[in-house]
Amino acid sequence: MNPIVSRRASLVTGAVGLTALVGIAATVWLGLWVTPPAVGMGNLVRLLYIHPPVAWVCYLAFGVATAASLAYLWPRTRSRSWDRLAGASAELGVVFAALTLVTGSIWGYPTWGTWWTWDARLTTTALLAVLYVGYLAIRKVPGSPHVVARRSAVVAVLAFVDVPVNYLSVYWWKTLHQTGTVLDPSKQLKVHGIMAWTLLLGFVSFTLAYAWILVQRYRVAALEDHRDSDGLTSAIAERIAEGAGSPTRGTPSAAPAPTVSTSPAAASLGGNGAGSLARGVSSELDGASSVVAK
Amino acid sequence: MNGYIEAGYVVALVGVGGYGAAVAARRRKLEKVLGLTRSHAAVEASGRKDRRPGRRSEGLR
Amino acid sequence: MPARRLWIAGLLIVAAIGFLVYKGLGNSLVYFRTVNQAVAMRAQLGTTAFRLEGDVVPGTVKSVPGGVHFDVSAGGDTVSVVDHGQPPQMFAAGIPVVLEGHFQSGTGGFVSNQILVKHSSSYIAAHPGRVKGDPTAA
Repeated sequence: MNPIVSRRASLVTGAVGLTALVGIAATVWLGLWVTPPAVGMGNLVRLLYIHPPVAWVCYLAFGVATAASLAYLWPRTRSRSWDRLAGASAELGVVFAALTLVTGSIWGYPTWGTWWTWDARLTTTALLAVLYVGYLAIRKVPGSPHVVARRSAVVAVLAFVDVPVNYLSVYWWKTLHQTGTVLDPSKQLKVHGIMAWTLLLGFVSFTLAYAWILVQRYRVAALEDHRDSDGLTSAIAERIAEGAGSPTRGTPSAAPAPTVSTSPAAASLGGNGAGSLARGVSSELDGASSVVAK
Repeated sequence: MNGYIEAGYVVALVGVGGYGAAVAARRRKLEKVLGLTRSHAAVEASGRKDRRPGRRSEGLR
Repeated sequence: MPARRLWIAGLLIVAAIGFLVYKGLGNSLVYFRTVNQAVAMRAQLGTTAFRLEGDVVPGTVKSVPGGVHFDVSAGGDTVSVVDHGQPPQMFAAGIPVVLEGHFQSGTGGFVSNQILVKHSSSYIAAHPGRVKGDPTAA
């Protein structure tokens, strides 16, 4: 149990961050200077390379928060790590939702002629932001760590219902907002050439930026838990756990996770924190959850 | 261009960059307070454990 | 004290959610009516405010004192519109627009106080092969 994030994990995270930075810089360069103006919109098309990628990250962040919440709610995978990941990703989602609303508004004024209108897409986007602000507030309502984590997880899953509604709103109802940007309902690509490549680069770069910030935010949460919990008690708990032999995942007798889950040590028992992420990043996340000193 | 496009780019970049930088700074500060700094990791990685300060006493102050 | 702040924050969030759901159910499900839909229910609509959607008919756009006059059509019906606002910079003949306003009693025309440009989601390079300096660009 290394309390410090492994060198390899921080190298991977650093590479992700650097790639995101270079990718976003390239997106800005292509978006503002290289790509051509569009028919009808002229230069106003250039926000195409920013607004949809930011909106996509908002969906992704709430999706990760919801998946992590479900993993927490399912007893076999229950772990404080999932709760932290959910909280971290939801916070990123709220930031990206706010940026979606602001960049959309700035784009809407010169193209539509209004900063805001109550169509279904815009209304459900605002609702999405407020729902997850509510989720972040629920996380602050006092209670035992497990109770707080469980009720937050339920709220995260319920709030996620608005994501598919938001995505499909432009097809279900009449909206001022245009329909899907990349593909139309018949799965025909609607952007071409350098415009399409720049848009793709925007999607990839903002997704990498999300991944990098998520790792940072997750580790902040893990460090805060470590700081706030009684470090000695959790260290003892971990020693006991180590003494009991290597814990077998999912075996109720060996893993107290479903009922306890109060200390970082329990988190490292409860299962592999973020197995679905890239291996290096995941080991950094795990390193954070097992931050208990040796 | 016309100002709106530039404003949209600035908002997105400052928003993502500012938030990311703030979170990373908070991480570094916590690591420092808890005595889990990168330099310790580097020391540990290089194997010179004798030069590693006692991070427990530092960290839980 | 933190508990009290949490209650206030909670109430504000619940109020915001309630407001947005009300807005969503009340307003955005029927965000606009197309010209043919509006014409079909003209008697019902009377002079109440609603949003009208249609394509600006080419050749009908004329400046009038304090605004602009044009026809919009959709689904085979056409309505003549007078707008007393500032048309957005992307307003042009042939494009779909959403107009906020109401039918005028008697004349059958539509009085608009805001033109919203409903652009499509296809983005086509204005000058393929050419990179910068489009004089027609906004």
